[in-house]
Amino acid sequence: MTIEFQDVSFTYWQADNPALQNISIQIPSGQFVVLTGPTGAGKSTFLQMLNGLIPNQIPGTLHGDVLVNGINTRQVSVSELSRQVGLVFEDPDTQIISLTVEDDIAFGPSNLGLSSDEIRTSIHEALIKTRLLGFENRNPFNLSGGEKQSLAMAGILAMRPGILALDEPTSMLDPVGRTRIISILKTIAEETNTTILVVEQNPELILEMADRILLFDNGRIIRDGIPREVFCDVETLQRVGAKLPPVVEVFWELGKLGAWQSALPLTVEEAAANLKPKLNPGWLQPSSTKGSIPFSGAGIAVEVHETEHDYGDGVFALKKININFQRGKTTAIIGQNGSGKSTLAFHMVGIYHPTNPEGRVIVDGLDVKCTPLQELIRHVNYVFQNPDDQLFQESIADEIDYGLKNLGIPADERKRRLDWAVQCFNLGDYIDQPPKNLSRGLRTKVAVAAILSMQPSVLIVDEPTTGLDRRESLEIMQVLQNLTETGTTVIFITHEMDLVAQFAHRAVVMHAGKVLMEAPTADVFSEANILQQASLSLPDIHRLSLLLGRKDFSDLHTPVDLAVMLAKGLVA
Amino acid sequence: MTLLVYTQRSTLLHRLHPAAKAVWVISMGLILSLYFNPIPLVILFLLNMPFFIAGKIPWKKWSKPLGFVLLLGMIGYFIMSLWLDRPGVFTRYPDLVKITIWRIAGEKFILGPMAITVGGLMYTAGQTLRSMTLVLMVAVFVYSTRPNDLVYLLSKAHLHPKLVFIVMVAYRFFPHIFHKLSIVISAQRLRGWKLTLGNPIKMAKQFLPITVPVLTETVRLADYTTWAVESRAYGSGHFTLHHELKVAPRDWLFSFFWLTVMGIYLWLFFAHGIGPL
Repeated sequence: MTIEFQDVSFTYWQADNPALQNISIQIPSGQFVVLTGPTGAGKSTFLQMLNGLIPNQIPGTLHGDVLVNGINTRQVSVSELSRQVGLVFEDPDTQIISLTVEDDIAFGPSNLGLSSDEIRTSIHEALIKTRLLGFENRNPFNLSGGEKQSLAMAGILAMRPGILALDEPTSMLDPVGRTRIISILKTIAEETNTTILVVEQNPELILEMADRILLFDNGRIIRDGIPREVFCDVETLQRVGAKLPPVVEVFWELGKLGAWQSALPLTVEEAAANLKPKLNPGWLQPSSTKGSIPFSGAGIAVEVHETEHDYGDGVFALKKININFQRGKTTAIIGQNGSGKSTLAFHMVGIYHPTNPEGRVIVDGLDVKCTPLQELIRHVNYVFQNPDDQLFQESIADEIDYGLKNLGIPADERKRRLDWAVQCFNLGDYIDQPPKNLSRGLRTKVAVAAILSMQPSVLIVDEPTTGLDRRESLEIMQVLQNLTETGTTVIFITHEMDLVAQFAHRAVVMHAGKVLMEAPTADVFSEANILQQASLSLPDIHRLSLLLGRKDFSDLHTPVDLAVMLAKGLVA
Repeated sequence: MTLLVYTQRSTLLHRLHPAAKAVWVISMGLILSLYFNPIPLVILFLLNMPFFIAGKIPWKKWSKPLGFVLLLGMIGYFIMSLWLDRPGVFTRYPDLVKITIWRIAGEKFILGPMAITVGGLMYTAGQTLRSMTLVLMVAVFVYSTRPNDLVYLLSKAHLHPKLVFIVMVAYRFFPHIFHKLSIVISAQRLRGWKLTLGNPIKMAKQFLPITVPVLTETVRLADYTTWAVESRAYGSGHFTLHHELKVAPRDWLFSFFWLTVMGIYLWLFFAHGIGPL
């Protein structure tokens, strides 16, 4: 099953610039191809051409031809192409049609008009491949994120396509879900001759399986090669804002420090094997400046006492939570999907209240339950994960001004805050544009800016980096971190463990409605049992440090930190 | 949102052929469109009860939304009934309007004359029963009918694939949109949004922060779902099922029962004028 793009360019309807420009490429049968690059680079557009969504469903101007196994995608419908190409989208909720797992997997084969025996066989095979056997009668609504994405894949696999295309299949998943999807992909790649194309912002997750990497930027493929070739071209990756595998970043920095001249390793294991014989044991010396920050009761911004939350079906989303959040610090709440992170945050901003009489949440000295929401939001506020849940105005300026007007803030003060929020996120060039026309990264910035301008002393941000590329993620996190310098308490919910390492002073680990641990981030990362219990994994740089014998993470936040530490060991 | 979601269970209602349940829905729909008199509507409601009980519908979960429908219906229809204090409203029982229980009226009273009459109370009871029965019937149908079976049934009825798609998407995404609505309301409340009473145009504008994000999500969902179902060969030919959908004697019996009920109600309506007030 081959794919051929013949000088393909595509411009979306009403768009000014082409999403893809002059793409000419061949992908032979059975290859595992990873598409990476910044958001808006053309990766998803490329995938949507494979099964004919472009140009059959999505309007725009297409030049050139896309051939799938010799079939020109212009000349057949999406339905017909679905026998050749299976496309899995980022958000599993938009792909699940039926209300039982079995029925949903059957939907594709049923549309193909297969006999009931054939459909049953296809369902069984797909259930096995995606590890959903035993889930047949479950309601997809009640599955975890990883299970839902597995189901979306199962629905496609049941149609037995020769090409499987996945658009950021792990971006909305927690670490457990990611591991599950990667493992399924590995099995499919090993056991079948399926051609697999995956768009992935975190390439380190699938480097081992990849035969080929396509690096996109501005609608063009600017690098095409085996993983080692592409990911060792660090300058290009950094220039376009694509994420580097953290291990590569460490060795790149080591090279800049003059401590490494050999080839750059790609994986943690490879890096550890290369470094172990060359490292001086002196690098294991504990750091002189411990990063742990002593907890002071005087600086508590949020207190949660004995808080329970029952959604009414007897399942407790929170179980007797007792926790304090330190004022002026950045705290990350981490844990699997469904562990209670967002529910806990909703209690802090007064969307939910404890369902038990003794439960209490105190923010800035105010009892959340007894404080009117209009008053509470001056002290604490929350940015939802999806920026589109709040954006509705015709310009960024109006969007930011909306909350300020509702608070009854005078015009001159509103203007000052608007300018400040716009400056924080460099939104000046877009100030009069409708938020709905902006990229996901910019919309997220507007959503955070709109809440930020209300100047709450406690700001809670729910997964602020979902759907963003590396550069955008770091920009948003940097603004949040800067806020702590002015005394704001920042709490963020995330699955990105490297961002926790880099930006969080403290971390709260949640599992099944309970807080397993609350401590400085480095201390949390040192507790392997706790992380394992919460199904979390260490960032790659911490894993590498651990493999090299260093368990003290107090001064390890970024790949640069590790490179500096390693350089000392290597030079000595 | 516990109503209007299919739930996998093994009950009489779940085992019934979707076509038999369609006969039930159509028969009931026809009766409800003609009848306003609460007495035959009570009987109709009671006739449904054994099936709801045998279907083991989750009364506990449904009590809150159904109670809300009941309360809202009663209040709304009662308020409307206050103005039914004039001759010619009740064609079948014109005397009802004369039995006034309490009157709030005056020549200069801007909202008046209003009155609580027996006719108005019967109207309130009848309309509330109609709403309750309709909501319950649709909820039970959705609760017990697999979406794939519905697609199969509608395809067999030679409905256009686009129409089938609309039904299917509504079936699947109705709860999702309700969930989104609650998120958007929370998000805007945290930005100081609140509903204040006053000028109707100003009140309508107050809903923009809610309706724009919800509509945006609905459009996004519709786009992605269209792409997702097309990517799964929707509309490419005959829709088949992986499980057998046989018509059993119970399906004939169930259909026959409701067709008989419909026949009786139509006969009473046309031959004896029972139904209107």
